[in-house]
Amino acid sequence: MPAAPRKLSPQSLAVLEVLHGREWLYGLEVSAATGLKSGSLYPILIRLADRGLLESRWLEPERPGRPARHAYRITGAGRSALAAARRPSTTLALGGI
Amino acid sequence: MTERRNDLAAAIMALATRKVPAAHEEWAHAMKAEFAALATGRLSWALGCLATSLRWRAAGEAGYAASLAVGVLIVMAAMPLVIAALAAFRPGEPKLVFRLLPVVICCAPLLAGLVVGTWRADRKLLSALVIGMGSQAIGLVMFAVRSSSIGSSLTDALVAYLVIGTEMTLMSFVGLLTAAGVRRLRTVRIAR
Repeated sequence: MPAAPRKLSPQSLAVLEVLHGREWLYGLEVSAATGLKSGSLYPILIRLADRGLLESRWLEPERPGRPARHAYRITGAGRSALAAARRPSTTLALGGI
Repeated sequence: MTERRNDLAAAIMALATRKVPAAHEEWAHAMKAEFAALATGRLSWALGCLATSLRWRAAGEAGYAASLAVGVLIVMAAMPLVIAALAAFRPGEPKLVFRLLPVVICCAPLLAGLVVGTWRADRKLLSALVIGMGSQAIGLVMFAVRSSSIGSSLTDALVAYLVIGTEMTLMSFVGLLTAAGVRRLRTVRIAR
């Protein structure tokens, strides 16, 4: 039997929620939308990227002289994980029986 | 005041992105690029990045220290075999082991430092601490289990192991520095 996928933390889900339905977002934009500080945000982004739930790429700077910025986008697997997390669990659904 | 805060934030950010493990280098650049785009809240962003980078470094150091500690443990586990061999070689002198102990305490960490230093040039202090104090920690555990080591009480044993551990740490550090010096000399010779 395959191992059950690890449950996502509420903070990780918040990051996926923000990325869902949008194009590439910068770290600062994700931080502003989720309220996560850099110390919490980057470990979450790394974990999500390692699990293939988000993808990243370097985007050219909007203003000349600035460094290229890292942007993030949710993947298909990320959307599925988010949908699964939004669904009430089987245990809860059967709770009344 | 704001300028001073910005300078401090920039210094912290530089510290956070310095000597980051290779696996996280891209992420360090990402944090730095966002910092460059920030107008306000630079200090708290830089502090968060520093905390993240310290966690990455600590994880790397812990992995290295653990693998080195396993090596020390294996060598320590082989010690009873050496003692048994010595006792078999000189059966009339059972105290030979104890007479050789000071030599072993001095030479073993020096040799271990030379070996580890040849293998890895960085993390000298951490390596010396693991070689010197790690072996003594094993000794302390043995004391706690068998109560038959140096000193009659735990305080005596602690003091003895601390003194021996410090000496062994220093000796292994000398070994590591020597190995680093030899490496450097060899590199210079090859470059010529």
